Amino acid sequence: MIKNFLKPNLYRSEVLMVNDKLKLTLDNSRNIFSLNENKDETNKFNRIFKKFFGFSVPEIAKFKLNDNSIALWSRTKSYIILTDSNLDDLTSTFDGLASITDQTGGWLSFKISGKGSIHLFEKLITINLENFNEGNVIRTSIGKINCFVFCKKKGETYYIICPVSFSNAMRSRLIQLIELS
Amino acid sequence: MTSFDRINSSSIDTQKEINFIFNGQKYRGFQGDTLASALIANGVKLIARSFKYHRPRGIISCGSQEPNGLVELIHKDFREPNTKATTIELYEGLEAKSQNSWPSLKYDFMSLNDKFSKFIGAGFYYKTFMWPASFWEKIYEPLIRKAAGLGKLSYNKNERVSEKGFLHCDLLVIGSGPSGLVSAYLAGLSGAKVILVEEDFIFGGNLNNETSDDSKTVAHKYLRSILKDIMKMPNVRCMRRTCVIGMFDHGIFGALEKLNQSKIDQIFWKIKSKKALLCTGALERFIPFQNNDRPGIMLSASIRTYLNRWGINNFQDVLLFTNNNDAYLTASNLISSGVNVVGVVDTRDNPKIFDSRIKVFQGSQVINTRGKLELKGVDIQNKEGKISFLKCDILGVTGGWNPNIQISCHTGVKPVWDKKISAFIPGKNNVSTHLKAVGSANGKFTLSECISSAEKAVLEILNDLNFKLEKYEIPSISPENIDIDPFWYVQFGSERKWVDLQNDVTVKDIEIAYKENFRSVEHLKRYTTLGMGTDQGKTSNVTGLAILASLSKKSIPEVGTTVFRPPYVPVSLDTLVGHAHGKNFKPTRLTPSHNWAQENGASFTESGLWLRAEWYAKKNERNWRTTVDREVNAVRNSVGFCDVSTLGKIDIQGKDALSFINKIYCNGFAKLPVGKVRYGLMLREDGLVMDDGTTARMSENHFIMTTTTVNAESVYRHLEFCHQCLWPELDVQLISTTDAWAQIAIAGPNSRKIISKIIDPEYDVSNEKFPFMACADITICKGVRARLFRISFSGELAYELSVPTQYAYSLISYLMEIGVEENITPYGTEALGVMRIEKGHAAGPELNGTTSALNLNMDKMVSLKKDSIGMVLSKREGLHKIDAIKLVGLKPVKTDNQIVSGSHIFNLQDKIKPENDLGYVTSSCYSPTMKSYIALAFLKNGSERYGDKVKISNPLLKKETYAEVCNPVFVDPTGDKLRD
Repeated sequence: MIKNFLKPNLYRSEVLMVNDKLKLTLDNSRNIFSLNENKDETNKFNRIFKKFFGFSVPEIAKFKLNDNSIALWSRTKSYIILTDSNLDDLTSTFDGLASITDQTGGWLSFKISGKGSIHLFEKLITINLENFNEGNVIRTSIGKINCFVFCKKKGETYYIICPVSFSNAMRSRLIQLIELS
Repeated sequence: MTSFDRINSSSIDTQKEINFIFNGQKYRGFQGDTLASALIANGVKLIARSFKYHRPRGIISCGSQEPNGLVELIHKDFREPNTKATTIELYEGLEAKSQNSWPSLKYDFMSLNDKFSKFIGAGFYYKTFMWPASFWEKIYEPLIRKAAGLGKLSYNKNERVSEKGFLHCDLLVIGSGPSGLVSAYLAGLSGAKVILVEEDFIFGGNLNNETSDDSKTVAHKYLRSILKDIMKMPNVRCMRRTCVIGMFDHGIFGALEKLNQSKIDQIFWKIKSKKALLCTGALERFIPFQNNDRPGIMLSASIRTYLNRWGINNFQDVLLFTNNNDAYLTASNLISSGVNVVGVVDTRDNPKIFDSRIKVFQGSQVINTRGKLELKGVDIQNKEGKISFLKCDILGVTGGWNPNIQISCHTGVKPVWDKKISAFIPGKNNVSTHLKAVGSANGKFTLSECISSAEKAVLEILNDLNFKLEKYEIPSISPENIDIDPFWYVQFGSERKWVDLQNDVTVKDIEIAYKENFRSVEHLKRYTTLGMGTDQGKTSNVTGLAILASLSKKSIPEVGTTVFRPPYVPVSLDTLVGHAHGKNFKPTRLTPSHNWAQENGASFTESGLWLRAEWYAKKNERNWRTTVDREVNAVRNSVGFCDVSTLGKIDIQGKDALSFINKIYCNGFAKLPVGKVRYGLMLREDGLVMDDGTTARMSENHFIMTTTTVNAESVYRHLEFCHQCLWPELDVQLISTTDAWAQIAIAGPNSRKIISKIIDPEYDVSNEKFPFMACADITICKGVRARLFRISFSGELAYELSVPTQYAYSLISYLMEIGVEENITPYGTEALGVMRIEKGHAAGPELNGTTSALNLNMDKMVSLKKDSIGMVLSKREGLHKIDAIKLVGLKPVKTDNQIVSGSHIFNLQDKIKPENDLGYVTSSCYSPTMKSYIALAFLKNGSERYGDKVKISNPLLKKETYAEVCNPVFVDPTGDKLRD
């Protein structure tokens, strides 16, 4: 009998590598959306945003989070949202205020934690890690892979979000560096 | 295996013996030794043969300025040639051999060159090897290449692990001698973020090379104690074995760190610093005199370093030759450790006598040396002209000191001449505010001056950076006297006097260059190769300039300097590459169907960064052509599917999205209804074609643009530029969704049947309800979100089905299940390419950045009724020539004659010459549908020449084919299949 449904092949959350200094985890438990504010809707958009997510719109190069959602500033009036909410919820909430684009499955999230984090990122990104504090996010490239990096706890916990087509390459690179550390 | 006992030294650990091999012989050293110090301690004087004349040579220095001691390091799997013995940290099992000698170092056949030195002086190759001309490539060049160069490669894979990294700091301190230590300490106390780098494997610089006599005890104690404090400061990062190899713009420095006992062998750091201090000290100068290159002749301060740092006192009779006070310190130290010091030959008439134990030959010069494989003695001449012989096995030479200023010149700042010290120091009007030189690097040679200049510089920098320094202590140190009388070379005698030991450049060579009118310092450098070796002239440049100045009767500053460029020391290519080689050279992008394709026997090809399935071979298929032909036939006769997810997908949303798109494409989009797709041609500002694709209108204000795979990023960037810079007033959002959606092309006469099996029942894909170029948001397989586009690249009835990426594997597996009856066939990029050529669709080879809409037979698509990017310049005369090239099809006259892409087209009667060239072939393939090879090409006046026969020339393979010009749409030119 032919099956009449499709199964999503979502990368599960799993620990990819761990040693005494670092832990690399695939953290893919949430839906991902691009949220782009429509023109001249800022006040209303900000209000609805805060009401829906429980925190205000993040400032430039910052992110905000709570138990359900993380919102990254990605560019002017544009945010990447990692959330437990679904597309329908977002669409109905932000109807007319913003465009919502479902990116779930299109991006993968890696979590790097441990006291060796700073030394690892020194070999990955060019920014001054001393000034990359909790709550900061940057769009950058790691090994020629365009990605977002955000800092959950300075010196201890960071996330990298990259397009899924690059996820194998990103994973290999991170594992290679952690093995060498 | 031999060794000599060492005297007391804090830098080596005599409890930890290290065994190593040099030229096949086993030796013993200690932890803390370099290869050079261990060899000297073992009495090895002959280390190498010189570059051109193969003269026997020994170690002359103790650092990276070493011109002679180049060895080949032999690792397990690869060799590292041209490594300086003076900088190699000794490790257990080290194996090295000397270079440039055969069959052995002692008996080198090529030492014959020395006998013919009169004929092979500087620039000899400009005057020889000219006749006959035919000999040059076959005989002269191979011979010269074989004889030239140093070291050999193993051609084995280099297993060294190299990485790159990025650091930031407030202050970068380059060098950890006295001035560097004081700088790092004071800056660290203020709370500034400091990086202290040291080329050597221990910190301290000159501190490690000197003893503490009474006058220096206080200073040395202080410096040693602040070094300990620095190592504990959390805001000071101490990096030894780290050499700053270059200064670049904006305060960025490149530094190579070699790691010990780590899985990573080396890291190339880019350090961004707000300020930097150059504390690299000074390098001792050599003095040219006759035969000044024998093994056993060394720089005086280096002898002192080997004595004090490495505890080596196995010298028998040491003579020193000097024009300044420093040699007396060497003499004193040697005498105190039991070495016989024959005396100090001092060019000055009345030098101050520091130590009554030292015999001084004042107003005298060393004029020649004796010995072959090692020094046996020297001839000296006093000012009365009397010549006498002095027996010695070691001659220490010092002609003064050159501040080590190279890094300060890397951004183009010229050094300036300091008459007091007869040396160059960093330019005072340094346009870069990032770097300041202090201590010996700035011509302050005494310890007290080093410390005080560092203190002054750091306080200024901390003030600039708004750091406050509360309390600190620096002990007062009594000043010393540096007394130097400039002396550049010994004029006596006609035998060769070496200036540049590494490249075998002599005083005579400089004189010849001058006579032949190579009088600018840049010409002198290149004609003689002075300073062009791996030591970069560290021991020879200034002496060479002084000789040129004397010949040209100018002052040294008037003569000027050559340009110092990075790297400061030679850097192997793997350092600059880091980890990015082999598979890591570039990241690979995998398509959503990759795993499925791999499981089902696909062969892959690279398409930009993507890895795409090229074809799916079956077991019985002999070659790839058989497979591809099968795939094409399967699509043309029934149905196939192909993963086309790599095409760029850009969501364009917003009230002004339509207006925006209408300005981007040159063809009209203003009337595109909801639920329809249109082909779009995108021009550059100059009117040439940038990219093509389709744009679908999913709803009133929601569009999906597709681009070619290769241009996905550049088109997105282009759209962003247009939105942000050209039309910021438009309410439009651009979101790249290339990775978020998997897109599968389902093509062939049975494609509608397949689609009907998977879409949910509420959707109607009949030809009436879903005609050619329709699009819609749908659901498939009981509610999975999807998008359906009725577009065709193959020329068959076809659809492109988009699902969120995570469903791709499941969808494809499902298509295979439900398509059994129709014999659904996966096809790859090769079959895709064949079909698009059969259909005459332009792709990358045709959209090559030099073609216009007219060339592509799409000139009528360019709407003149609206403004769009590239519309204005697309009208220029140059793009509308009467005989402009046009896209045509080519069919070989003999159907099995292959037409090769890149071939050029000529009239039958014309000779194959550039002036007769009519165009070129862009794409070609074997067409199983046409049962012939076919091609697409650009041909002058192409659309007027259907039916003509032409000649296709492939000069690389020296082949010619004859073909007929035809319509580029070989299959279904009326498009009936598309609209079926």
